[in-house]
Formats: sequence, C-alpha cells, structure tokens
Amino acid sequence: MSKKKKKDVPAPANDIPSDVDLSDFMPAAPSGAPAVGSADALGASGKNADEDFADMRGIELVNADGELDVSAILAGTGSEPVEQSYRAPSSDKAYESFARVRVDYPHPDKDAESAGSVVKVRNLTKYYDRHLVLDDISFDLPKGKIIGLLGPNGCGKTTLIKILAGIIHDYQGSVLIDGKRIGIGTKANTAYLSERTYLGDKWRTVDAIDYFDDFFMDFDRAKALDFADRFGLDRLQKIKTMSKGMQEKVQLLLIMSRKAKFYLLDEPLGGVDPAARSVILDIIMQNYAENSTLMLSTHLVNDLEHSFDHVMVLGHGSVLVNTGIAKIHEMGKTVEDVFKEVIGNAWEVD
Amino acid sequence: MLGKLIKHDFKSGASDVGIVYLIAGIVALTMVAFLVFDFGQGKIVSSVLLLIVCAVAVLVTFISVIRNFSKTMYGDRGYLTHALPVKSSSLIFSKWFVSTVWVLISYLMLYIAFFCVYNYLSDSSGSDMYDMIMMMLETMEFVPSQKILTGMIIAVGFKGLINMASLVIFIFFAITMGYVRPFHKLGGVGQVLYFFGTYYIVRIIGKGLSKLAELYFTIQDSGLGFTFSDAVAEIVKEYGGGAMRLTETYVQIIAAIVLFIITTDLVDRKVNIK
Repeated sequence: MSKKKKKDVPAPANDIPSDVDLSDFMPAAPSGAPAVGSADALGASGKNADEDFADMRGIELVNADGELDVSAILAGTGSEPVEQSYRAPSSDKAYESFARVRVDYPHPDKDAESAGSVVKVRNLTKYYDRHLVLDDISFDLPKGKIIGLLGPNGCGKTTLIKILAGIIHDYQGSVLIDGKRIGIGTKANTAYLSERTYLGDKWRTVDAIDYFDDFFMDFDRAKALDFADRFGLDRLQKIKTMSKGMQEKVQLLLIMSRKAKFYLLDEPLGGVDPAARSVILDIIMQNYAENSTLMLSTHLVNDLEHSFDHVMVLGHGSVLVNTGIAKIHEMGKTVEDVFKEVIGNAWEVD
Repeated sequence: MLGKLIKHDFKSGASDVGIVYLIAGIVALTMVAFLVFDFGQGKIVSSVLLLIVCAVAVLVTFISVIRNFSKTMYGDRGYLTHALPVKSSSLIFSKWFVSTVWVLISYLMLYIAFFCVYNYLSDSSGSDMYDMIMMMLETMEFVPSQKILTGMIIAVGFKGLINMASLVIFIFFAITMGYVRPFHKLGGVGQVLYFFGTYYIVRIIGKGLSKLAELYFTIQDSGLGFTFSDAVAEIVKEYGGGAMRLTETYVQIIAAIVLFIITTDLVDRKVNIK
C-alpha cells in the first residue's frame, strides 16, 4: 500500500473540514485589534486584511460552491497574523497536502502572557541541507505548565527540542529560555531527555548517577538511587547489557532526579509498552519540580490528553496550534480532535 | 567543571585502552620472569611479544582517541555532552588534554619496551648503553657535557610532546569538519582527507618558513638561547653545544591553537549531531 501522492491539486483548502474553526486555537487578538470582517478591520481598499492578503497572493476566499473557505482565513481570525501562506503538494510526503498555515505571533499567547513565558522563539528557521524543517516559526510557551508538543513524524518536534536543549546550533532566529540565549545558563536549568540512549556504553547505573551528580547542581543523588531501587535496577549492572526499557528507565530516573526549571522530554513513552507507560507517566508527573515547565513530545495523544495544560502542534515545519488545553475543552473538543483536524488528513492513502 | 570533565574523560579512555596496557604489563612481567629463571627460548618470545603489544597499544590508543571524540561529541553520547552546562572550549580542552596524556603514555611504553628489549637481548644494562653513547661522542672533536646532553634530551622530548599534542588537535579538527555542512557529505573519507590536508599544509608552511628564517634553540654550558642565525647555530654545535631547529615546531603550535579555536567555534555554531 503506497501513500497517495496528490499531484496537481489546487491549494488544499478542503483538506480541513469546513466546520472547524481553528481560529479558536490561535492566540487571542491583542486588545483593540479589530475583529475580522468588522468595519474597523476594513482597510483603505475597502476589504479586510484577509481579503487584501488573498488578493496579493491570488487566493480565493470563496470556494467553487460559493462558500467561505475556512482554511483560507484561518490565520485571519485571532491575533494579528503577520503572514500566512499555502503550499500546494509538491513532494512525496502525503501530508504536505494539508493546508499549511503559518502564523507568527507578535504577541504571546494569552496563557503565556498571564503566566509569563519560559520560551520565546522568534523567526526560527532550520534546514538540514536543503530540507526545510522549521520554517520561520515564532511562538511563546507559558511558564509552569505541562506542554504537549505534537505533530506527525518529520514535522520538526525533535529538532525544536534539540535546539532548546542546546544540541543543535546551526539555526536562524532567536531562541530564549527564561530570557537567556541558549548556553551554559539555560543548560544548567534544563533537564533534557533524548529519544536516544545517550549514556556511556560501559557505564553502570551508578556511574551515570555519578556523572549527573558531578555536572548538574540541581541533581538529587539520593532520589536517583531511590528511583533505581524502586525500578528494580541493579546499580552495578552495565547499561549496555540492559533491555531498552531498562535503559529508558535509567535515563528517566536521571532526568526526574533533577530539580530543573525546564524539562524537555523527547518521546519519553516512545518504546515503552502500554503497561509501563502509565507508570512512567506517573513518575514524570509526580516528580518534576514544582513551578517548573515540562515540555513533552509524543504521538500518544490519547494517553496524555489529561496531563497537558497546553499543547503545541507542529506541522510541516510550522506552528499550527499553540493554545491552552482549557480552550480546547471549552469548545467541547479533545486534543486528539484538534490534532486530527489540523493533521489528520495527512495520511490519505489510495 | 573542567576538572570533572577531565576526570570523566580519563575514566572513559581508561576503559578503552586499559585492557591493552594490562596485557602489556602481563607480558613485561613474563619477560622478567623468564630473565630470572634464565629461560632462553621464552626470553626471545616474550621480548618480541612485548614490542608487538606496545606497538599495538600505540595504535589502540589512537583509535580510542578518535573513537572517543567522535562518540562523545557527535555520536549518541553527544546528546548528553552538549546538554552539559559547560563551554565547548572546556569540552574540547578536556578531551585534548586527556588524549594527549594517553598518547604520551603509549609512546613512553613503546620506547621503554624498546630499551628494555634491547638491553635484555644483548645482556647489557642501561649503564652499558650510556657508556656506548659517550664513546661515540668522544670520537667527535667536542664532547657535550652531561648538562648539555640532558638539556637536549629534555628539548627533544618536549618537541615530541608538542608533536603529539598538535596531532591530537589536528585529529579533532578533521573529525569535527566531518560533521559540518556541507563538508559532512564526504563522511569518513572526508575526515581522513581533512586530517592529511591540514597536516601537510602546516608542514609545508613550516618548511617554507624554515627556509626563509630558521629559529634555533641553543644549549651551551653558559646557558640557553634562541637565534635565527645558521652560522651561530653551527658555532654552538662546533663548541660542544646543542642547537635545535624550532621553526616547524612553533608553526605547529600556532596551527594547533588556531585549529583549537576553529574547532570550538564549529562546535558552538555549525555542528549537527546525528
């Protein structure tokens, strides 16, 4: 079964169901900003901003049936959209067929504004060779929340986390954590769990604990040893002789034994069986430091729905959704609903 | 933090090369045992074996230096290394320092093994060799004093150390270039090319400058000195002093410092971990 390549398809407005009002997931308009379609929003041309933009780009806001095209006005309802663009499917990735909406946030999300931002990203662009992974994205993330980072494979989640963790350096744009550029200061306060096993081949659990104890001032050695015992790990067993699940437990205990201000967990439940998943999730939720921010990337939207305070959905290198979970629930929707609405049509097959 | 980095890098290196050094130690002890019990056949076998093991130790040490740097900086371990709250320059300095020490130990082992095996097989002692060197020197017009001889040995050793230390930086630079876009496209072959390319460019510059104006380090009974004059160096040698060419060495030092800075900068701004 091969993925369907949608060639020669016009701007994919209809990939997103017309009854979805995605503007609710976008940051609220700054006070005083005119509502879309209101008289105040009409410019000198007599059209509102979206119409002006559509004219410039040659985008029709009304589809062939004479109905308003929802996806074409996505970014126009909410905060001031700086730029929005559409890309017709051009590569072999089927999910490129969904409407690509880029919204830059000149003002932080309401949640972020009220709680204070822990992360401020402006015009972040990252290429791997000629492959664009993050496309001029800007966003803020609220402090002291559990943030779910969602998106399909290859959308840039891991890249974004690696940039925040200080692993990737060659990017364009500005990235601040707690107002500081990525560097020693941010690394000292960021607990990063990689999707890979990053511990030494010849290390034992106790060696890994010693290593973290040496380099991270916020590391609680006693807590780590206690975790190791509770996990049933042999402190003297070499990590490379452990199963993948046990290795993940070792990494998790190291991270959760830190009293960091910012936790970055890249697919912590990736290779874990469903039974262990809830245990690991409990450990994460019960042990991250109070008032800290926890950002967690995952595909397991269902399992984590009730754990998130805030979700950010990346798609095709852009921020598609960045909002508080309460907003989503207020609309009578779940995170999965939102995810499917913005990403769900990505994997249409023949 | 630098001290902690060095501690952990030493531990990491020891786990890689430790086994070879252990084998070398066992072979050396076997050789001593055969000497004590005067076991003729075993003497030869263990001596040859010790030389082979020590030569292997040098090779293993270089492989370990390359492997450790690649793995801990740009492999899976790099995810942890780069998440540490330390400067890139500290990371690289620590790895450079530790690698240089391991390379130095491996070379020392090899030289000591040569010396021991020579004396062992020729049934001579260290003092015999010293007498032989002095006899050779006496055939020359001016015999260097023990002070000058000691000074020259120290100077040669120091020059060798600089060679090793700069070689390690050349290796680190070449490996790092292999992870910088677009140079990464050549992969491992590229890293070998970057190493030899850099190494020979520096050698050529050194030789060129050496022809233009050679800097000599001179040792005489009256003291130490530096001179750019070939004539002065010749006179010093004629009167039993020592004169050592230094131009290539200082070019190597400058190149190593520049490559260290470039490598740190690449790590800070350009490198992508796989």
